[in-house]
Amino acid sequence: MESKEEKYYLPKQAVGVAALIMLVISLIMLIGFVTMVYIHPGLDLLFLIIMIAIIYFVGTWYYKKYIGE
Amino acid sequence: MEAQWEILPVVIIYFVILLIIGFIASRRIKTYRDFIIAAGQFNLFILMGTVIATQWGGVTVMGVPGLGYKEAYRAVYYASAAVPRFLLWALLLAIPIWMAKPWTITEWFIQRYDRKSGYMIAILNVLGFVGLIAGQLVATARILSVMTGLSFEIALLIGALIVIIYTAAAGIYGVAYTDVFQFIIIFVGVITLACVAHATIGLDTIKTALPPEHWSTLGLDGALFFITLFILWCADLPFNYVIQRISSARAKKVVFMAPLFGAISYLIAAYLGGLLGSFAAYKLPGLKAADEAVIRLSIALLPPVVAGILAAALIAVTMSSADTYLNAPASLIVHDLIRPFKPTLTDRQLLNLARLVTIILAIIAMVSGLWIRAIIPVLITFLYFTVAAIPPFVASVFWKGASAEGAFWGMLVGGIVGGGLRFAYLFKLTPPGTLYSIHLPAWLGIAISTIILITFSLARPKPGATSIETASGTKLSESVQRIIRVMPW
Repeated sequence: MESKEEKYYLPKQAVGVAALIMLVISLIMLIGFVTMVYIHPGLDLLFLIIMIAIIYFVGTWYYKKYIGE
Repeated sequence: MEAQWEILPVVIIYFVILLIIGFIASRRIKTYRDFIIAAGQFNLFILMGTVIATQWGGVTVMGVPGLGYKEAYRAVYYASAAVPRFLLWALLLAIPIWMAKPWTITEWFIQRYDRKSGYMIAILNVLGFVGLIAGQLVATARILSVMTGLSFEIALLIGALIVIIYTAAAGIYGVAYTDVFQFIIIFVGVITLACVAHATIGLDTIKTALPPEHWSTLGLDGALFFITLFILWCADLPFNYVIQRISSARAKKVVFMAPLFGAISYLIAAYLGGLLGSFAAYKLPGLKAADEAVIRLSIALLPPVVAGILAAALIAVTMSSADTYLNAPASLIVHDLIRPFKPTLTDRQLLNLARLVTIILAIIAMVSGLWIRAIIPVLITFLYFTVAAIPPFVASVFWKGASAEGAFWGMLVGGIVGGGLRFAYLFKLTPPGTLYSIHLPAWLGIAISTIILITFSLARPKPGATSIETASGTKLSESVQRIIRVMPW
């Protein structure tokens, strides 16, 4: 376990990809809040579920691609 | 002020449970290191609980709906700005720092830059923490005061005593385990209130009853507010409690996933902040203190026992933040500012010293709280100092060329400008309005720090990172070499 950790490094392109993820998720979230939220409780719930799924799956994709299991 | 007699027993039972958990956790404290970082023991559930509960403090649970009481989208932008901040923590900062497992933020800066930069970040942290602790204690006192009818001063004293006892006794273990307990109550309590408000009042009612400006998306003002708040949220990253949580994670995936769930929690906080504030604006128009919107809404809508549980949850979030803010600078002062000058101190002496410092800090914060009394101005004001620490902190992870001189001078000048402008506004030395009170101190603080960091680093490449890599061996500690290997260079 220890030796496996020692070999780990974060690839250079991960920094750019991480910045892009933060920007895109922020934009989608803000647009969603402005256009979908506080109209109907069902729509609010749908928006929250979609955003939670986006954050979770993009995050785990990044983890698998750049950090590894 | 009238006491909520039906609610008091629930609040008292809650505090008893909190002290029992703190006592149980204290039995696991064997060494000074255990007191500080729990030596890589936290699983995902515990780490996630402590990361989220710490952030869901008085500002998030009371202040954000307070903003939503006046403008729904102000609350949304305030809390949602924390989402990209948590993503920055998860995607870029968590893993490299966890690999190095520094004890404190100072240790990280000393290893990455130099001793001078380490002391600078320690000073910024301690300054900021005193304000943060005082702010949380005041928030706790405000809730206790509304719920129990006790005077503000007595409520502050009771809240501070509880926090002192279990933080001093149990260190990071007590903080983390009570955080998890509180994290569960917070979610259940706030979501219950939202559901009841939906069922008894309804979204359609408040949409038509509240004026159109309440639902304004704020346009450019809203966008600028979001950007500034993102900077202020990031100013909360180069803090000791973040390092403690990262280093306390049991595994790589745990340290990554906890802040990712933190991002999700703030998406929900943004929604709930705007919603609960709006329900309160409809149900309780003309509140003098908008920060009390959630507490008063719960008393108005929920049965006494349920309101009591939510009261406990509201007290929990502020005290959860207070205990963390108390534990982190205590370990920072002992480990980074006292230990280097007294290397002969034993582990037991260090542990006792950390507990003593915890008590002293709490007393200072309590006195400050009694003197200042306002939650949000204190909290935000001190973050303007640490805004200048964002560039060197982020660069410490992904920019090999960032120099120690650039980091030090960037933090010093940026911190003085950011904090100075904020204080200038408070003392009415700058014109009124959000530009001078909120935006400019943050923008100038981070811009100046960034410019100085880049200019110094490019103009005079520093020994720090470069020579460490070429020296390879005798002059370097094992921990420094390990940090170099995990950097994305």
